[in-house]
Amino acid sequence: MTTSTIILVGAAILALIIVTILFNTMVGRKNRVQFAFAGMDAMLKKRFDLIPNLVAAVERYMKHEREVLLQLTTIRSRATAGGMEKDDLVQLDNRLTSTLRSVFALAENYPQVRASNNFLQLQGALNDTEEQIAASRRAYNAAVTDYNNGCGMFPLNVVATLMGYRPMAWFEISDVERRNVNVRELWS
Amino acid sequence: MTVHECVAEAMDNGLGSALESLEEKRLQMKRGNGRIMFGGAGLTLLLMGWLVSIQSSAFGYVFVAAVAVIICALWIRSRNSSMACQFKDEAIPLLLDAALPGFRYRGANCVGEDEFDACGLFRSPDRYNGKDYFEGVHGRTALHFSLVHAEERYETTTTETDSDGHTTTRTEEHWRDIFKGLFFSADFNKEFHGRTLVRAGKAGLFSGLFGNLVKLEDPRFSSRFRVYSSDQVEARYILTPRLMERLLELESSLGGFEASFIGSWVYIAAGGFPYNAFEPDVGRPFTDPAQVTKTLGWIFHVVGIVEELDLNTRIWSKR
Repeated sequence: MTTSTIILVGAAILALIIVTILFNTMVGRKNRVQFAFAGMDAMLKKRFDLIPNLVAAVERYMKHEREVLLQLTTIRSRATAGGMEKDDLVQLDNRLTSTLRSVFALAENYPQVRASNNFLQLQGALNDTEEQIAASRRAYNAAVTDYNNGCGMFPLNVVATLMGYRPMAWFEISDVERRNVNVRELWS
Repeated sequence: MTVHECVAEAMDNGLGSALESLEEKRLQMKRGNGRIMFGGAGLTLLLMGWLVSIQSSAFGYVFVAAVAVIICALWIRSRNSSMACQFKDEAIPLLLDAALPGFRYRGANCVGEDEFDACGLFRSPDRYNGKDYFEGVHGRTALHFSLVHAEERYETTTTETDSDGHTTTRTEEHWRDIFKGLFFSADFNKEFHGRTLVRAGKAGLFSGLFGNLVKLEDPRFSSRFRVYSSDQVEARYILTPRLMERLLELESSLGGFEASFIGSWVYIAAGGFPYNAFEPDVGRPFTDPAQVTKTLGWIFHVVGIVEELDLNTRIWSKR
């Protein structure tokens, strides 16, 4: 084998290695986005699963707030029916967050609810899940940022274009969620 | 209550008389130190007289003087240190009774080596000691802390060849600090199962090679710390934007630290924390309120980490 053949074969192997690394990097980043989304989805489901327990714990005492509780149940039914797009799910989650905050704010008017261990445990669990959902969203956004950087920066963008990868959107909180909850405004 | 109010209350509840008795002992010790110096000087003069009689070289005088100074200094230092320990053992529990009821102090103890190892921030030390162990519950948060000095051994080998071609290899043992400062552990207000480390210094190009790096959104926090975690989501569950801000504030008040979050506990290792923070000044009267005020000020500063990190807020499933 001549020297030039060795150099050519070496260059081809090197190019193959580089392309493989770039390809695997982009696949890895996309998988991380999907993994982060799945994690967030699991957290959303966990929160939806807590709703029936919350309603059962408070409906006996909060009879005058039947409308709010009904709203909670409706949101949950829609979420568990499935077949929702990512954006719809996010919107529903935002509505659930606001409604839950309202329920907790209204519960302050019911001493029996506040004294119930079951309610306090559920409130803790729901607060926990909300924090975990926020963390999952941030993890998802970090994964999307990494992926989008790959789609936009050379040389990964070349591979991304060849693979048909397009930049993805971040999860952003709604304007309603940015504002503090005003129970009177929401339920009057 | 402020530090001064707590000191005033402790003074009324027995600290005042304890300090008077300690001051008595300090004055006795001071007189004893004077006698040691006087005796040392007399003995040195006697030995020098003897050296004159045997017509010793100048080296003899220097040697005798140096040995006398070293022995006296070590002796006095040991007496001062024992006096300081006595002060802490008697005064700090009385201060704690007034300021932080339920807290316990053990001057000769420190956070266990197992816990130090388990925090995941340092290599396992070859020599480990510490002092000033405090434990208690502040609000709803159980905590303990102490000063810790962890060292590792290393060896240097030097090879020398003399003019005859003989080679001598000499191995020397040395010690270097792994950590020296405050080690603080507290029950975190959230439940978690993974392992998240907050390291001092921003992430570099190769930081990702040393663990699962977590890229957080706060640029100010990321410029001061780099975070590694076994779980990306859990790291963000712990390090909320608010906690990142609080950690930055804590950094300025503690003068640099590293932290780990393991088994629902937070561990903080502050290397910049003064190792003599709880020591009294044995050169000044123990009855001076500034002595106990300074000690209690440092205790409040450390226990205040609970408020700085908002650990008493228990709105999550962990109560």
